[in-house]
Amino acid sequence: MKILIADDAAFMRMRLRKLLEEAGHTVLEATNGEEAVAMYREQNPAVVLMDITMPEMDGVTATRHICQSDPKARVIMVSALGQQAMIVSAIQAGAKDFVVKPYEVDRVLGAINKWAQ
Amino acid sequence: MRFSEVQWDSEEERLLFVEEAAELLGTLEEGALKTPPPMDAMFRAAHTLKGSGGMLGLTQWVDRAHRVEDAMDRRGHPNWEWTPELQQFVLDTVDAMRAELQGQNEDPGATTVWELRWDSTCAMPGVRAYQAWTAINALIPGTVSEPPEDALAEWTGEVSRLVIPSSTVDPDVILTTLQSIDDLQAVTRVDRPLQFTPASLDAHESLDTEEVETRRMTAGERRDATIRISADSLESILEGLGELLLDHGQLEHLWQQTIDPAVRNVLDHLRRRALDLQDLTLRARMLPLDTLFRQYPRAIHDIARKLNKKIQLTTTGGETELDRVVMDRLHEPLLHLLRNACDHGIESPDQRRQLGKPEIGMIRLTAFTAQGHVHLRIEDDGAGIDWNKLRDKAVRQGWLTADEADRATEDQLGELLFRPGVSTADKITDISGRGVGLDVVRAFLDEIHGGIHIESQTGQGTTFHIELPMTMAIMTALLVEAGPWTLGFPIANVERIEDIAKSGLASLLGQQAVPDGQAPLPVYSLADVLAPEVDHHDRYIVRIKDGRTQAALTVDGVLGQQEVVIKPVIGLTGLTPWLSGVALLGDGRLALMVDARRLVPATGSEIEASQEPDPILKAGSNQMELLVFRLSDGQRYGINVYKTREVLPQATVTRVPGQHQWLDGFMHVRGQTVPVVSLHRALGLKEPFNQGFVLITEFNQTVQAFPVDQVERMVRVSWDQVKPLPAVLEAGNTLQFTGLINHEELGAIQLIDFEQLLAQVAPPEFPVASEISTEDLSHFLVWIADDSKVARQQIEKALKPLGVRFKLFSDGQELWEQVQVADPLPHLFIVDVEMPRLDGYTLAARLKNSARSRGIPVVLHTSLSGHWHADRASQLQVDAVITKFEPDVLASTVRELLSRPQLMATW
Repeated sequence: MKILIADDAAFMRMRLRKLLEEAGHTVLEATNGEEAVAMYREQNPAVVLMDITMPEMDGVTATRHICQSDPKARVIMVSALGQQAMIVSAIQAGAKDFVVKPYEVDRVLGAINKWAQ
Repeated sequence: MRFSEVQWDSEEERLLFVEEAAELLGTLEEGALKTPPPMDAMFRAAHTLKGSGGMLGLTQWVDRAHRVEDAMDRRGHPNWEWTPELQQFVLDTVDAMRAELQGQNEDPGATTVWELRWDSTCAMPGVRAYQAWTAINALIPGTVSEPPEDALAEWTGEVSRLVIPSSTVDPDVILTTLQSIDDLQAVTRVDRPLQFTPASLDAHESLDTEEVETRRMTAGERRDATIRISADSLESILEGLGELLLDHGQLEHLWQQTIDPAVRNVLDHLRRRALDLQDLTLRARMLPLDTLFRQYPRAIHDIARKLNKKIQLTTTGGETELDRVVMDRLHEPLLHLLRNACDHGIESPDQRRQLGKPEIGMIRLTAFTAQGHVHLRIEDDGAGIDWNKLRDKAVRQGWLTADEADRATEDQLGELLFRPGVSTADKITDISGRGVGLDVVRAFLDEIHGGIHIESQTGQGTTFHIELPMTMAIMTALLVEAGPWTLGFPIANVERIEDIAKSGLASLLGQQAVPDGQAPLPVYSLADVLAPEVDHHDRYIVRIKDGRTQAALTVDGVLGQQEVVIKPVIGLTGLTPWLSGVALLGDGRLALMVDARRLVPATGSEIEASQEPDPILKAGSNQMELLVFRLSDGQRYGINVYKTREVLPQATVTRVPGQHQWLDGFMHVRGQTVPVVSLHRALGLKEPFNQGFVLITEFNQTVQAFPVDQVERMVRVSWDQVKPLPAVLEAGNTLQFTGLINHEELGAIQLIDFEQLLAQVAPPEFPVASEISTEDLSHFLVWIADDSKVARQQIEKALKPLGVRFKLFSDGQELWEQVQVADPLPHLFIVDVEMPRLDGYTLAARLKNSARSRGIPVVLHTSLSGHWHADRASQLQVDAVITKFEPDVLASTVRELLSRPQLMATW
């Protein structure tokens, strides 16, 4: 399955990529919101893992753009604790679910499997 | 597919279908009853019904609609005819389809509540709760989250709730949807009743809609949307507003000294807003009479068919608005009158032909507004009433003397038809059954303060004229004082107020006629009519005209006019038929609203049937009226209305040192100083919050005041509903209770044993009967029933010097059961009035009616005083009524009764 990771932190992207590839997925990477939106249009991934705080365009805004152009998009927010209000806005914008950093492997894969069906 | 199996996309969709279908079915039904029927419109209606049913896959529905459509489709065909059979087929089909619909149309207000418990390790429960709301709301729009969805961003907690509107969505689907959300530990369905639980429906509640449409009053984009609100909720809102106005009155009272313009402004604004809201709410309760009228053409059709008559009903004035509460109560009597008109008014087609009348009988139902009332007329062009036959019958039945019958006007004779029992009398062809249930019709209308009278021309037809108040909840009243009471009259009924000194009345004593242009007018002193013995100084004359009742009433004072909210007085009407309700005044006093028609006899109706006392509260019905109040614990308590005199706003209490700890002090009430007793301290509660009310009571021949927090209403209860207080409740109290009633609307009402309470505050002296008997009375046996231990001891002590033997019973039932089996029976009964299970009035009536005990004297022994009780006691054939507690009187009465010669002879 094709999965897009949007995160400005290279370390996080690396960790996630490793985890996902081990589970047999294809991984795409974006380093900010704008890139994520553009890449979603070009590559049409099955699931997006979206960080909230990113330069150029934040994750909530990016989610809104993606979900507006594709209401069926499956965006899962990846967030730190204490960002509850942001995630509620992301869900209003169309995000399907969220996982909390630092995440447990099972949770991330569980969320992806659930929403990819 | 069946209707109940339809999967609706949304509640809106379902409602839209139901409402539209109901309208189309209405078109079909109304069309089928018209001559000629509007075929095209009916065809279209059937077609649309078929179409929308088809969209939902409703097989049976579609089939029915199709057959109607098919039948109508052949219209215009040379052999096609609109036959009675076809008409009936359409009507039957409408009924069947409506039944299918109604199965779905129940209880639109019901909601289900789901409690969601989130894992304690859940990082952001607010997000989860929000996800849950989003998912369910997509399924069933209108779902509400608790905490509210827009507050969830900030929410942390473990339990949230979803309030889901009723829908056809399977609960399992809701459950599965919720379970797909992470971190959800448990889902529980915790339905709770709606905030305003619908009260039990009246027996004659028969409109099929329990709701009224009302305008949504919130600002914003949905201004024009309508919502349904239960009539009970509306009622609660009205009551709340009434109480708000009352609070305002009290505030104003408290602040009347202030000149601070800011305070004045706020007070004025508060009052204006509350009045506006009351007005809006009242208007929301009004419905056009068409809602009621619409169902009658069909009813008449069915009745006519059964009777093999041809009858057409026309209605006019359906746009006239009427209080929904009144309208609900109106349905039954109206249907009764219409049925009567069909059954006994309109002749058979053959008869009508012979009489030269059109074959089709006409019934006209007309509504209009005049003089602050709604008027209804039910006219038929049938046989009418044969007044001469009625005269004969009245004489035969002994209602009138031959002379009276000759002089009686048609109006007066018409009144006879409303007598109970007229229907059971032998038949007079033309009016046979005319009286069927007319007494019942009048009773129904009495309840809603409506009036009815009959006009008829023999052979031409009959007209019933009904007059109704537009609303029962609010009116402008003229407030007057008579004796100790404040009373109110609907301003619409007040013709004139005059100063006695300047009125030019020759004399006011008795019931003298006042020269008044044409008609002489009877003059009554209001205070005398209410209670002959009270002190009063009449200074004004109020002329009242209400329907056909006209009278001049003299009163002590005139307080002016005021908008009042009327609270019904349930049940009390039996004893005080003139009391149409109670209004709470701004200063917290109660004003008694007078129905003048029931206070003084109608003018010129000297032959009016004597009124039987209302059976409801007549002595021996084992019932009582309770005034329900609340204390600072929020619990409800009750006191027998017979024990109460009035309710006052909190008054100044003068404290006196060194008194019993339950005694607050004394207060001044109408020239009398009365002790103020604290129920709060007796029950170990905290003191009443600031401004409450004071119950002024009268029993044991003394007057005493009890501060309470809230006075609610009066309820009628039966003594057999009185249960002993559960031991747990009784245990912590130093007070004794007569018992507990579980009222169907108000819940638990505790009955404090007020005599016992008073005995504890002021221990009764035990003046031993001074005359010691010289005769030997020791062979006499006396049975005593009293639920109060203190009272039993007192009686025992009082009777001891007489030397009689006695047996004690703790309530009426216990004594009554013994009467059935005991041998020998006693020589005398002494019974208390207020006792659980079987009260003293009822016990006395039974003892006097039973062959076993008829000859034995009964003494009614009670703490109740006042004329209400005296009235009721006088209906019983007891041998003596003694007020508690006068040992001398008791002892001498007992001795006298026991020494009666006939008594000696019996034994």
